[in-house]
Amino acid sequence: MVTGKVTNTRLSDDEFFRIRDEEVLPQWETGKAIRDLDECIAAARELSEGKNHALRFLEAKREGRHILIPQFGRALTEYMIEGIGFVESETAIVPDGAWNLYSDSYTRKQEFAKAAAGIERSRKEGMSMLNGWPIVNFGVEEARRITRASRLPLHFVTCDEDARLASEIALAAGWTANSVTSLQECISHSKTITLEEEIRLMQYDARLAAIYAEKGVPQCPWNTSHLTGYDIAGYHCFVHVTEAVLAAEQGVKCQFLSHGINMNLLQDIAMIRVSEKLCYEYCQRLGYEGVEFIAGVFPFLGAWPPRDDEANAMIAWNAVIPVLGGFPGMILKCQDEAFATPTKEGMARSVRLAKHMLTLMGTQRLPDGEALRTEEAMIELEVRAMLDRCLEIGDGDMAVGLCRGVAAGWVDTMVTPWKHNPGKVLLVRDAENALRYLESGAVPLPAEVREYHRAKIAEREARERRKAGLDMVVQDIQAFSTLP
Amino acid sequence: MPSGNIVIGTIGSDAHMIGAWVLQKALVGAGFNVTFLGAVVPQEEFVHAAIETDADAILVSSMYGMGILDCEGLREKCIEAGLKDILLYAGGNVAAPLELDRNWPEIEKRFKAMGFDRVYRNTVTPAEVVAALKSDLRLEG
Repeated sequence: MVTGKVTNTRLSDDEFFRIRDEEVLPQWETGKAIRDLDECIAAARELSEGKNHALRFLEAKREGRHILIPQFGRALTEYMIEGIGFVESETAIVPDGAWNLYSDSYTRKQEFAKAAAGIERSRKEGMSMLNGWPIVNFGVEEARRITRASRLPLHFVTCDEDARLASEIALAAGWTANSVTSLQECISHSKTITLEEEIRLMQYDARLAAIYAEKGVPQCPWNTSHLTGYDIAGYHCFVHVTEAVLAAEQGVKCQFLSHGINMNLLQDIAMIRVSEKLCYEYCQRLGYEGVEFIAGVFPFLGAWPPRDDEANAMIAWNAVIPVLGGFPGMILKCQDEAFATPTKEGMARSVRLAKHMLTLMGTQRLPDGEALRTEEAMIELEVRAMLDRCLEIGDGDMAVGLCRGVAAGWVDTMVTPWKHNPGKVLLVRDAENALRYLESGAVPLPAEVREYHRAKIAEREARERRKAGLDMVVQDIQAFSTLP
Repeated sequence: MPSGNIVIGTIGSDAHMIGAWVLQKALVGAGFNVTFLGAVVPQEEFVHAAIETDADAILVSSMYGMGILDCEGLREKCIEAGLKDILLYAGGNVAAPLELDRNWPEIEKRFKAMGFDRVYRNTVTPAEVVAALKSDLRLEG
């Protein structure tokens, strides 16, 4: 692994193709079939015709519509085609839908030999023994079979540390969104990789998406803040804006902002508004013109309740937030979430439920009000403080500043597998279920924001007549998955 | 004499740490000495940690559905390392194909066949695990 100084600088063509030939395509034998990038781009243009992620999402944003995004991943291509076909024919998801397709976790860790064994085992057992579709093992022709089987735009969910070969295969198959995720992937799925190295890997994914777009196949990579599933709103925004800038430097002109939410209406809407606003603002301030952002909501990433009724409440509430917030992207989880990766039946039920929520809610939006304005103002103060510190200590370079911020210990969240995270912060919910800092570690919170969080926690303490502490933190983590 | 030492972590390529994190807090609270290995833990690391700490039990969390593939062979590795009698528990979403998850007796059967002493769904409470450990280790209380 090459680790060292990384800066926020666009990869030159020479550098990109050197990495492609030396590091990316040789990772697995299926890399050979995509050696000719121009040929891949030409095929992708044809395959994605009428179901381009960027075009569909930009149109939805302009027209104030919502795109439903179910998720699916099974060990074998046949299962993928069957599941996608089932949901598209059994529900009204076409045309206002898109797919979030993910690989298994061995693929996400470049353990392609293990994925190969999982494919064989799945064939033998007659069911999916992998938790996703091993895109690298199957390669571009199989991925194109999936593209042809769907009438919707396809997004490839990133791998954990190194998604480069998987991204190459997905885009060559006419899927029109990969992922631009650096700190996000460290926090969500990684244990030891350095942020410097993760940024270096992501720069390739971003540059790849930009090359496709520059050659006529618009791309809308996902800039996500799924993180640990339990993170403060300001941290989500910070992750989105830093990534927005890093991807913009590589030439990415359209990004889907997939916000993991904490299931608090007011705070989640405030978070996403601040995030989108600051993505535009910081990109412009740093000289990246014409970058578009489409806001989306990813369902709660913490533990889900193990019963359909409670899970349906989660799905419905998850639909309320993007509608009232006016955010185009609505990713779906389903009733299976507590137990398993989604089944096709579960995904279809979830699509129907969400679709009916859209019918019920129409074009209602959350009215402006003092509570919402205060929440937005507090998040914005926090995020600006972090972003500006980042640019300051990075001498204007977001990549350098971000890495230094992690090293200095003030970029922090709780309960991540990533060993470079300081883990000094603790979060609890307030009386209204919004997430607050119980401990903020070395996060450079403006005093006003710190006071606001404290006052909000005090309201809950008074209401429940007990002090907030570690017990409350642990209890809150399990709150939505515990049945009464 | 049991040592009261427990090794816990999330196995395989699985990054989901919260289940094991919550449980290790409860185990510490219940008076066990806990070695928490975090997420993405290979079988070998569980075994090494168990040897180093003279552990009574290895608690394996698996949340992403590939628990069967990841847990196969762990008992054999323990035996090779001289930990023939160590307790092995698994818990979480240990087998994600819903076909299997809906058939819990089959999952239990498979984990028992793999040499696990107990296997739990993700709905298990920390108190149940603490009680089971105390009972299996014949500890007071």
